[in-house]
Amino acid sequence: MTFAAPWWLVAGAAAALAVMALHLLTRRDQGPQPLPTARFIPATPIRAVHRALMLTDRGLLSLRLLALLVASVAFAQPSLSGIKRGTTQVILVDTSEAADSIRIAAAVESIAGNQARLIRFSSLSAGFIAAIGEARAIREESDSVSLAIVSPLARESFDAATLSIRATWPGGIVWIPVDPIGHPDTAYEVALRAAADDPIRATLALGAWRVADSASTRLVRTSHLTAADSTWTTDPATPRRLLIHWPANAAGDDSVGAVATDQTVIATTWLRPTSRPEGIARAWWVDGAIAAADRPLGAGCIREIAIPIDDHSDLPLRPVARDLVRDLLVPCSGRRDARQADSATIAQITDTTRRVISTAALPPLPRTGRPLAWLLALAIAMLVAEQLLRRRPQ
Amino acid sequence: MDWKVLARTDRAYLRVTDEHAVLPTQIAIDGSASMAYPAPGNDKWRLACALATGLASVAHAAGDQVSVIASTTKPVHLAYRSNRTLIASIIRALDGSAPSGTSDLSRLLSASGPAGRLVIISDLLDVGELLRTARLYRQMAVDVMVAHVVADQELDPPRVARVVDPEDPDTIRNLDDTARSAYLSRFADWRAATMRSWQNLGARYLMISTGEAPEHAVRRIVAA
Repeated sequence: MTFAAPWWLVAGAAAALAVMALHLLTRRDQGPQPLPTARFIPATPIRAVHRALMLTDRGLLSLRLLALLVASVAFAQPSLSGIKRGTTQVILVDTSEAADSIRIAAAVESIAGNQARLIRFSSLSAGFIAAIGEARAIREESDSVSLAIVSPLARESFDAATLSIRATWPGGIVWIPVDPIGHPDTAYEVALRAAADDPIRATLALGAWRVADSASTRLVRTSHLTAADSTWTTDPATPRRLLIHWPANAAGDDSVGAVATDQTVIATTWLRPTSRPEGIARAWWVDGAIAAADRPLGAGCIREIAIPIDDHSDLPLRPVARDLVRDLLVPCSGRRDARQADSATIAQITDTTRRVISTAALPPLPRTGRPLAWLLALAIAMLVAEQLLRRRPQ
Repeated sequence: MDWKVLARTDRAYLRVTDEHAVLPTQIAIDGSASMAYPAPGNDKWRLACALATGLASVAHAAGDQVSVIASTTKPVHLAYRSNRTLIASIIRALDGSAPSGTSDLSRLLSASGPAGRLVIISDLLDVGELLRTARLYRQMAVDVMVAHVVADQELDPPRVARVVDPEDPDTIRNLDDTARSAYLSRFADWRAATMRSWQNLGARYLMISTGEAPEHAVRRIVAA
């Protein structure tokens, strides 16, 4: 039997000793009892009072000690577990879009032992939380646990809570690096169907985008899409394609002062078209109207952009235009950065100094269940009986 | 001898009749502090009240007038009567009284009227002048009956370290095994001497313990 909170047993033992001491030391000096025929008792001198150390009211004492014992065992959360194994291996397996599943599987097979526990994650924060929970659950079965992570540790796997969650793991983490899927630069490829003098071409060139027909993002600057465009977007062989319909010469006569994405704001006089995109907004006019929006289409999505680019202005050449285009070319699933995290961040994640840690260093999972409830009910019943026994007539 | 018949007929006739003489019965209950024992039920006092009520019922059923006096804190003094509400009055009066203080029973007896029959219900621990008053009653040919009330706990005291006389707080005694043996012997001797004293003056004496059922005790008293 093991205990999740063994110090409750120590507290119970201390309380029991105190109760026993009270029963030993308490003397019920009730004074002389009335007896009308006391006159027939010969008068004898009062001798020295001898205080004998003896337990008073043994039945009540036994009940109190038993109640304390049962309550302390209940709070100590006993577990009838078997003999513990040695070290259990917990492996975090990256299943995010940046991870090459084939390379990941090969790496896991090379390091996983017979009793390894695999935890799949796409977000590092969620993965660490799951791994720590699994290690706490292993506490009853194994003396120690080791944690490894098989992942490219792409930047997009991190969020604001990742490092602080990692800090709650008391040991080191072995990192098995795996190259991220594809080339990071694929995030900066776009297939373009536009006029030769389209100002967007200049913006793309200045932003180091590479125009390639094989890109998973297609930017169409014509006034209408074709059936081929839809077919391209919904091709099941290449999921998550993004079709952007950003008509050139789409200016209207509704002037508005600024347009904004989640990271960029351009304040100038715009003559926006009357049509309003519908769907998941990606850009807004200053009055809140949607300027660009996504609609799912098959496994990918189509993005309608109603932001007119003036042919005669220098806006396409300015850095803010490149920021706008960067925000409007974000994939359907959101901004991605499959590049590996920097070395300082990786150093905070991985640590090979304490590969194996004792499960006793981990906080136990709270125990629930019927045995605990029965023990508490028994302790409460004993305390009720103690009350009744204490109030019985002497 | 029927004298009227003799005068008319000059013949002697003996008439045998069954006539009952009214015998005023006075019941005197000791209400001293020693009767308030043992706590919490005051079994001696409750037994005394039950005996008094039972004996009053027997006397009332026989057509006798009954008077009840008790030397309680607020003395009880019910005058002789034999009406239907007698027993209820006795119960009511005794229920409203409680034993305490020292016995003044002899003074109450002296102040009350003569009786044909006197029943004294007491633990006889502080008889005082009671024996002398009873002797005077005997000299007036009053039938005296003594019900000596004793608690079971007085016959076999509980195993406690010290005891105190409730009528005399200065009397504190240690009750170890040696003292207990001496007590049992002395108390038995005293009871025997007390019985002889009452019997010597012509009274009938019965010892009744709190362990005896009151109705059984009443039957014993009436039979005696």
